[in-house]
Order: sequence, then structure tokens, then C-alpha cells
Amino acid sequence: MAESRKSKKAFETFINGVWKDHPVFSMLLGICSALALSNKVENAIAMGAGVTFVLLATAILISGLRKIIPNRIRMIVFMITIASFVIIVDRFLKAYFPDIAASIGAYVGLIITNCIIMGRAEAFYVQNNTGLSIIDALANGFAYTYTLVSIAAIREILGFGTLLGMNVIPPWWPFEKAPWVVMTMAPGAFFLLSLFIWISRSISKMESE
Amino acid sequence: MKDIIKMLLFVIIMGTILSTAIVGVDSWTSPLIAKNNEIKIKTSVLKALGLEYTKDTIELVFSNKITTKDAVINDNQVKLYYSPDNTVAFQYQGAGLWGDIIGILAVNAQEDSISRVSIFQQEETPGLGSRIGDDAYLNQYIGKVFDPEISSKASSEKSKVDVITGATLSSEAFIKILNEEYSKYKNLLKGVK
Repeated sequence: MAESRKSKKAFETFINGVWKDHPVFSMLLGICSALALSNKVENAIAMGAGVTFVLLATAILISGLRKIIPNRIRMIVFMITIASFVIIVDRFLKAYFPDIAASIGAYVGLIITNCIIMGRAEAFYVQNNTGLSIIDALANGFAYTYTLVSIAAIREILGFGTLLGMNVIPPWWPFEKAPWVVMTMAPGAFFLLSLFIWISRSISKMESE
Repeated sequence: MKDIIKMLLFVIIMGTILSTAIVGVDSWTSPLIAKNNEIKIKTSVLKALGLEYTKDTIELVFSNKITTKDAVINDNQVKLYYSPDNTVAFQYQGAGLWGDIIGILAVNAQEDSISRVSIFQQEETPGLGSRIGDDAYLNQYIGKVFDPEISSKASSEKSKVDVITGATLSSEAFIKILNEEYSKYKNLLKGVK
């Protein structure tokens, strides 16, 4: 009985992360980086992986220490934890993936200010055990990544005419190849992201009715 | 009082552990990052001087074909890179829209013209300003003449370069950097044959 309740809770945590409490669609967290880094799929994957790693590491550390973190300084503790892991991701990318590090450059440092991580630490990791926190981190990281990648796929095809850097516009295409410059810029991301939020909210509404 | 001591202790211990982790990762990745940077500069020099290379032959081509000379400009030590046909290249650096743009500029100093230019470090907006680093954009600089400057508004085609739609500020910043840096190196390069 206890077993099944446990696995039900784990399942719920996962579904909440990837759909019901989707960090970008329903909580509108991490929007800045979702807008800025979703114009090329390659950048979106790297950013998604970076955020997921930092989420996971923060989840493990914060939930593990949740009973001894002094309540009054918990925010500062979250901050230094997140900052440390971000520095580690940054160094790792620079050492092993210099090309990706060069193309997403400044945004890696900005993972520190990605509200998804701070938000989940405050709302979940500091109150739940490590197992559930890991599931929550993976769910939220996955949700953030699939959002970024799906927006990036549309923007990259429409804006650059490529997907993961490969040309995808067929040779018989009669118009100018990938001329939709607005898709490569921030306004294009705004249009798409709001469209995504609209669709996902409508589906959620239908589900609950 | 007891709470405060507990808090302090927690912060100190946590800070120490995390700092140690960062120092560890840093000393582990530093040599790799330094090596990557060195390769980046060498690749950029070869690219700017128009020499053929593959990923595996960068070091070899560089050591066989490039002559490096030290020089001093405004009390700063700089390096000049010479190709076999005596085209000269140097490293430039200046403020872009968000951070420094660093790269290699190869010039024909007698004609004040650009042989080729490459960028190896920039922090412009990914997908927007960062496109100033694409070959498709940089190729238009080949053969442009500093007369006395290159510009997006120049009346003569010889000195006119385009800016990228949606990345005007990054493009203009880049043009400004090239003008400033060339004017610094100009006299030195003209004096040295």
C-alpha cells in the first residue's frame, strides 16, 4: 500500500513538472532565456542540458541538506549552490564543447538567474526528500528543454531555413529560402511562445472540464 | 546567539566545500581551456591569412607557414603574424554590443586594404549579433579599403560594408573596432616590410 502511494506521488510529481505545472507555460518562469536561446536547436539543446544539470545538482544538495539549512538564510544558500554549479557547467562546456560555449556564451552564466531553479528550490526541494526532488528536477528540466527545442525547431526552420544546421528547405521551394528574419529575432520568439502558452492552456482547460 | 553561530558555521562550511569543488573543476579544466584558446587563435590566424588547414593539421600548418614577430604599440606587446606571401595579420579587440569582440585582421598595409578578417571570440546575442562571425558576413570585408575608414555609409563601394538586418548595433560596433585597431597598427605595418 505504502509502496503504491509512493510511486503514485512520484508519478504525480513528474506529470506536474512536465505538464500541469509546466515551468514555462503555466508558471511563466525562465522566459528570458526561453526567448533568447530558442532560435537555433543546437543552442536550445545545450541550454536545456545545462539547466537540467544545475536543477538536478541543486535538487540533490538542497533536499539532502534541507533539515540543516538555517531557515533565515536559505535563499542565500540556494544562490551560492546554484552559482557554483553554473560555474562548473560553464568551465565544462568551455573545456569540452568550445564551439557550443562560444555560441551560447553569456547565457550560461545567466542560468544563475533562471527563476526555474530558484523557484523549484524554494517551492519543492527544501520541503521534499531527495528522491522526489530528483524526479521534480528531471521533470522540470525536461519540460524546459522540450519547450526550448520545439520553439527553436520552428524558429530555425522559418528564420534560417535549417534544422540543427542542416539545410531543410527543399530545392523546388519557389520562394526566397528562409527569409523570415523576424523569426530569428526576439519578437518571433514572443509570438511563438505566446502561441504555445495559449495552446497548452486551452488543452489544460479542456482536460479539467 | 546560538542560532547566529550555527548560521555562520553553516555558511562557512558550505562555502568552503563549494569553493573547493570549483577550484577542483577549475584546475582540471584550465589546461584544456588554455589549449582550446591557443587552437582558436591559431585557427583564426590561418583563416585570416587564407591558408588551407584541416582540424588535425592546424598546429603543423601554423608552425610551418607562419612567422611570428613581436612588436610594441603604445607600450603594449603585440604579435604580428606573417604568411609566406608576406601578408600580415594581427589580433584586434574591442567592445561589441555586449562584450568584447576579439579576432584576427589580415591586411595589405601598402594598399590599406583588408585581406581577410576572422572572429574567434564574441558575446553578441546568439543567432542575431553573433552572425557577424559567420563567413557569409565576413567575406564581404575582403578587399575593402580603409579610406581613411571602412563604413556602412561610405559613398564609395571600395570602403562600403553592409550591416546585418536585426544586428545593426553589433555590425556597427565591429566596423568601429576594425577602424580603430587598424589606425593603431597602420604606421607600424607600413614601416615594416
